[in-house]
Amino acid sequence: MHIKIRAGQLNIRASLQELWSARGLLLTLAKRDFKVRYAQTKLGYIWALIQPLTALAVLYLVFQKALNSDTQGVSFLSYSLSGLVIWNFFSYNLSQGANALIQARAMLQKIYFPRQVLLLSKGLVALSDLVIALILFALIGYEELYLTLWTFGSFLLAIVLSFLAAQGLAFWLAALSLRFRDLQQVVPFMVQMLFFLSPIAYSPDLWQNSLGNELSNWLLINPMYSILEIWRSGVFGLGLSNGTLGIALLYCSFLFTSGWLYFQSVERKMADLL
Amino acid sequence: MKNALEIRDLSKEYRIKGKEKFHALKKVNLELKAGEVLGLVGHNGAGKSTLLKILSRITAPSAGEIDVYGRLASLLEVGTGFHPELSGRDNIYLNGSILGMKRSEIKARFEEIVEFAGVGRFLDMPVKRYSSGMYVRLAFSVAAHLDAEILLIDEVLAVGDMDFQKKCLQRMESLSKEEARSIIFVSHNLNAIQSLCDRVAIISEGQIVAEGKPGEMLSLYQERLSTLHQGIPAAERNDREGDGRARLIHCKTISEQKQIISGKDAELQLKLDVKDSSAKKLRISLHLFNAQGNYLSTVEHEQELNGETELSCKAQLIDLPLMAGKFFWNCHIYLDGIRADFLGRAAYFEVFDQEFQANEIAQSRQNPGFYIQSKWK
Repeated sequence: MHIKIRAGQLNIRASLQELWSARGLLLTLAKRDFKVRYAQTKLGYIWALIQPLTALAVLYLVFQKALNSDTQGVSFLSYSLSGLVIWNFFSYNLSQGANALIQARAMLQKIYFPRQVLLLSKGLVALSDLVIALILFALIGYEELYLTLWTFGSFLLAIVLSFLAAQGLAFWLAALSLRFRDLQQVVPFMVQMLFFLSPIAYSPDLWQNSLGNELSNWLLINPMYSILEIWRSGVFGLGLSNGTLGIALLYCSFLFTSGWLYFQSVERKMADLL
Repeated sequence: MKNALEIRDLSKEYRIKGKEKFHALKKVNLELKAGEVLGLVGHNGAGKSTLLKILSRITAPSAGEIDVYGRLASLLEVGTGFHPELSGRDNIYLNGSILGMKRSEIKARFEEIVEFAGVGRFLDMPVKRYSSGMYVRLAFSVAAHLDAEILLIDEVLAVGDMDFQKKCLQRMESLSKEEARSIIFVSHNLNAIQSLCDRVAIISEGQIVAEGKPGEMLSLYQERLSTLHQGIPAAERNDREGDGRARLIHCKTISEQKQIISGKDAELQLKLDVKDSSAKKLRISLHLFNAQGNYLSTVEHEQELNGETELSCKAQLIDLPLMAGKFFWNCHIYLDGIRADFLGRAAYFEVFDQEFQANEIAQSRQNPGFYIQSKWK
């Protein structure tokens, strides 16, 4: 084994090799987060159920009872829970990932390991919540599911795309927040904005009707917009507009790749910035 | 003999405020031979930590090249990455994999790690309930069982009780002698350096200023140390810590006689600038060290403040109970409980024998301790 240490330069191949050899650490970190999460709480893993259920109840009150929002002919509970399942996965990846470096500050100054595993491991933790939420969804919405092969395809796509988008954004935010601590304030705010801008408990038609086609196209900047459309076309058999799939794939891959590259290029300066 | 590590022309700059640059390392060249224990000594701020951080890839060099032949593991601070909520068992796996071990490797060494740390009965208890001793033992034990050919060890021996420190030293010795690991060892414990290292390098102001046999290097280092900051008035020094609300500007140990003499009164004089006139309470804590850098004792003083900006105080050191030799004070100043100033080696002084003792304790001059007045019957 021969390790070369040179004045800082981005080496994509080396970064990927390192990631591969740190796959064990990825798992261990996820396990740690998972175990620690509900440590010393009385209800333990039941919290993973309580959280989506309460969110669902609030959405029901606001969007169904108060606003009577349109849900494309699907019952409100199934519709919004289908949205929450993917949204929670996305937002956990994003908010936890963006915070991961600052959280592990002490480690960053003392030990070397590929920093990207700190963020990527959050994806595994989010998966465990996803499984629980998905079971809940299957129980509540089983009558309305439109099961085909595309259901599984769209589910996998929604997971992969929201992972890529959230992690890509998190890579940018985590790396930049070392230099600009202000971003720490921005992240929770941004997640909250995205929540309201994503068609989770209302139909995307709502925007088209109120803003018109041209303006509502701007909402596609939010990657969750198309991801939810893809996912719902699979579970409820709703329509999918032309090109959504291709654009979402390109866009999410772009977010991930650009974020990852930026993160890798500043990785070796991180300890100096803390 | 083959090299385990080669460092060529290594430099590191830090940018401090705008364009001003600080050169933490300047063209360092160093080799570590396979199976060798290399000691690295230097006072605080000399560049030791920066060098270790670059070697362990925590931070990148600004220029230069390093080639590492083998797996390298660093023990810069034991227990980093321990999670308080997790059990000892989980933390062994967590810490091991953060330090770069595979799960199978940790499994294979698990028994050894637990036995070395002596925490067997508490394996399934969260480490937040461990005593600090147990915590440190477990942390060191994980690190000491790393399967790396090259180890960087920094000050880990400063932790734990004496028995455990001894055990750590033995472990390091067996790592280098029996398992032929190459080690770079950084410590302020010069005795440990002397007994463990095959070769010692002295680093000062970002450069390797000398390297060679431990005996020669350590006496050279002590010589350099004994004059470090000597002759620079306290007021002019900038290597301070603390928030700066107060500054020590004068510190001196004197005596009514021509010299400070063992067992006779001496006087300590201090002058401070207090910049924060709202401070209510002042505490001065002076730590006494001998020339070897061994801590001996602490002298403290507390008083109320009423908006003074300059303050002089004197303390009579009654029957100064120190043997002949050189000593120095480290000075900490606290305002309202928060450290406002710290000056290492703030003032040196030399204690002389009363004549009749001149020969008996001459050999202790290098490492002087307390002087006990005795009355024999």
